[in-house]
Amino acid sequence: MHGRVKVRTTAEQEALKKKERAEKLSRYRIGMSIVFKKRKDKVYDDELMMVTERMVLQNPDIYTLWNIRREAFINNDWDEKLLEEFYQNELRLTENCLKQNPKSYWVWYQRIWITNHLAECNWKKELMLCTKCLNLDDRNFHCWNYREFVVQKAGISPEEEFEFATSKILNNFSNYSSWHYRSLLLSKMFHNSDQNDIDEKKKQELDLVMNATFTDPNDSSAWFYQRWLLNTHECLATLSQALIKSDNVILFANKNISTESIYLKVNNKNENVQWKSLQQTKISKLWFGKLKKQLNEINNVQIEIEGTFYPLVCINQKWIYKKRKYKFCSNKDQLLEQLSSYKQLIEMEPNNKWAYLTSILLMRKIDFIKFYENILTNLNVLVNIDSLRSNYYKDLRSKYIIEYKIYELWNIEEDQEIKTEIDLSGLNLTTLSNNEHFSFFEQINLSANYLSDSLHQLFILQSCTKLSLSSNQVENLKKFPTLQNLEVLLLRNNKLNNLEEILQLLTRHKLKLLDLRENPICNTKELQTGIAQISPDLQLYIE
Amino acid sequence: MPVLKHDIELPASVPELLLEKHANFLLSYGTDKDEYMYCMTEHMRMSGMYWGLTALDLMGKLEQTNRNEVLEFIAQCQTESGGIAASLQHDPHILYTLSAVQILCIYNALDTIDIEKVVKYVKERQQPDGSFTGDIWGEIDMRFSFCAVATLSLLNRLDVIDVEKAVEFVMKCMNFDGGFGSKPGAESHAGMIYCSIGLLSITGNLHLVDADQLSWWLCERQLPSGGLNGRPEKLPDVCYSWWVLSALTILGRLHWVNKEQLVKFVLACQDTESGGFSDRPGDIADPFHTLFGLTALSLLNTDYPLKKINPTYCMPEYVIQRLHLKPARLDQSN
Repeated sequence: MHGRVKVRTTAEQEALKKKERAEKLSRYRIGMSIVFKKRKDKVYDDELMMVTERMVLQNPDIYTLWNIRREAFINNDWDEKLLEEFYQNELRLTENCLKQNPKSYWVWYQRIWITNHLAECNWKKELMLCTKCLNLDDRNFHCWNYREFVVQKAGISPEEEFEFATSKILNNFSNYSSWHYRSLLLSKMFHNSDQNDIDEKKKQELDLVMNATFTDPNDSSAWFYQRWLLNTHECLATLSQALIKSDNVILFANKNISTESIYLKVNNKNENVQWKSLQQTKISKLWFGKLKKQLNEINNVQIEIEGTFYPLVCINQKWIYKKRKYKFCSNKDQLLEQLSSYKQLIEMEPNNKWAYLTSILLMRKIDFIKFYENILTNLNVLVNIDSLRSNYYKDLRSKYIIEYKIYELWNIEEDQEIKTEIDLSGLNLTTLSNNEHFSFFEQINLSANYLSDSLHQLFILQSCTKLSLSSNQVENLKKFPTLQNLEVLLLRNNKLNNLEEILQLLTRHKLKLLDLRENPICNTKELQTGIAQISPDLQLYIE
Repeated sequence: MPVLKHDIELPASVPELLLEKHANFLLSYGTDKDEYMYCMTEHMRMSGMYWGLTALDLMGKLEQTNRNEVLEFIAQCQTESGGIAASLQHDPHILYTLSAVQILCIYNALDTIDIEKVVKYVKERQQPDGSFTGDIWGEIDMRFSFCAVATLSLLNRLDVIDVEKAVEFVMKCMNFDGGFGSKPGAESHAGMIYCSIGLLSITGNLHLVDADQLSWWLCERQLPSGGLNGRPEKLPDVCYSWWVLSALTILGRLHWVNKEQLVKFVLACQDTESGGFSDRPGDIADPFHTLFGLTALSLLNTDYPLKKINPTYCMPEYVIQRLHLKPARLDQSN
């Protein structure tokens, strides 16, 4: 029951209501029994149509009644003309039902079923019905869906509908459904356009949406659309980084790919590779490969992804490919202008979280490195002014910090090198985010952060041999994944107190060194003997 | 903060959780077979029973329900087609087929119905594009995809459908905001997102989702009142506490909403006289919102004496474990 307010009534009103309800109930029961009897006897007569019509007008959600009416349409002995009349009547009936209950799935479907059965449907009229209905409630998704159905049936082009969507938005900026519809049409139109047309269209959209956000800065609708526009819409999969070391390959692309579109070419011949994704999924951004034999240094090695070739350079028995550039943004001037406009909006409305968030997205797109400090400052503001979502902003901050630190590493690494070590200690990280670069690092320092709830994310550290999680307030290791290369694990100054979990962790790993200093578990007598039984050669630090 | 157009104000005092009252509200529901509201909701009886029984199980009151009566009713609602109807003489539909199977799993009594026939019925619903119809009349909707996949997985018979195609259809329903609608092109809606994420969780395909983007949209459903809405610029409603929270839990980002504020909103939606929860404070309570109020509290790991709920199936966790099912979650590594 949605939106039905509980009201207090007097005894007299109560008695009257009771009487009315008893009558209604009795009518319902008599009606249902007539309908079920006639259905059983296969009598599809006028009375059946009348009774069911009366009943669906009372309650359009009794789906079986609609089914029975459809049976009547199929099994009747009406001639063509009469059938057409019944169909037209059904259109009127569904319209009347929708007037009272515009959100009944069953009624909308009945209308679809009827229009599909009409010899000739007047789709223009159906489109007008949608427009009328959307004028009454422009968020009714049933009606939007029906419109989509009609548009397809009537063969209306996305360009034509785009005009309708524009008029809807200009009429009311604060309408998420219209923005959604616009994104849909735009995506369809993008499908047949080249990149220049897409960029041009997106520029126009950015102007429109900024206008909308200034008209009603506290309505969230347009802001969502804007965030979508600021995303990059890349169609092609490209290789981001690859590393081959002895018989192991790691690579990741900018989007999900399947192994069918990856080829490793040695001297222009396809090499046999056993590919595996992290969760054994068929598509993934990140892939781990096993070679049959190690590569020979003079080999010409390339990776092919969806038709594009990426040459790998060989140095010290390693083959690497790395893409080290941020994407060029074609409308920097426009974005800078928007950024300064939102600065003004923030001055006028210092608590408008959308202006802060959008500024972050703009800065990230214009020049992430240059604006890095401003982005963090804005995020800190958001943690305070939008406290319901403070954990979201903290996680977003962690994601940006990690990206920045990886970028810093790129600046110091040599041309033909991929760094294998990263220090991310003391950065207030609350999540590891899903950064594929992590799979390449062998030594990772995550100490002095807040990662106790993110241990499951360590799964991505597939090459890691030495890991520090000291001072992270870790209370348990239940979600600590199995990392097959891990040798050194530093867990100093945490809140570990469960021996079972530690022993379990040791059985899953071949650790050489484990640091458990400053954990409550150190006071447990059985700790040393328990560990010695499982890993006798382990170097253990407990005090 | 400016007052939002689409939100409510919570009453000054918020009641404690009134478990005893909710149990009585649900247990007494349907004891009078001539009660008006009960009779007039006959066309969704099977789901109504699932809502009530699941909620009672969470509160540890399942043994007080009339197991035999329920099982007998379900057996009678299975039709020749194999599908299960909402009620006697009504037509079979995939919505009520799932509700019936969920109840039977909770009672550990799947042998009440002809399982092979259910499997056949569900299998027949799948279309060449991977989508599912609700019944023989052809309506297509994301809800039906979820119902089909959930039903078959509870019966351990997912092998009879083309799972890859089913997943493909879900991905066609993904929108610009990372959410999902009821069919390709339909606007994102928290209920449909639950169905989509649930299906991807059962079939192990959560990697197809941009979890950060979608979870941000989901956590933006929380309004200053603490309650959650199902789409932008809509009023909060207790049932979205379930659709949004379950999806966020599966995506490993439950902490992106403010738990304390949400608990307060859910508690404010209790009917302190008759028991039960309503959509918003002061409205009429019903079994649907009562279940979703309680499941939200269960997911939020509050200290209330409620059993744990499984976010994918909306059934008690112990039942899912008894069936040896392991729907995927992004907060678990392998």
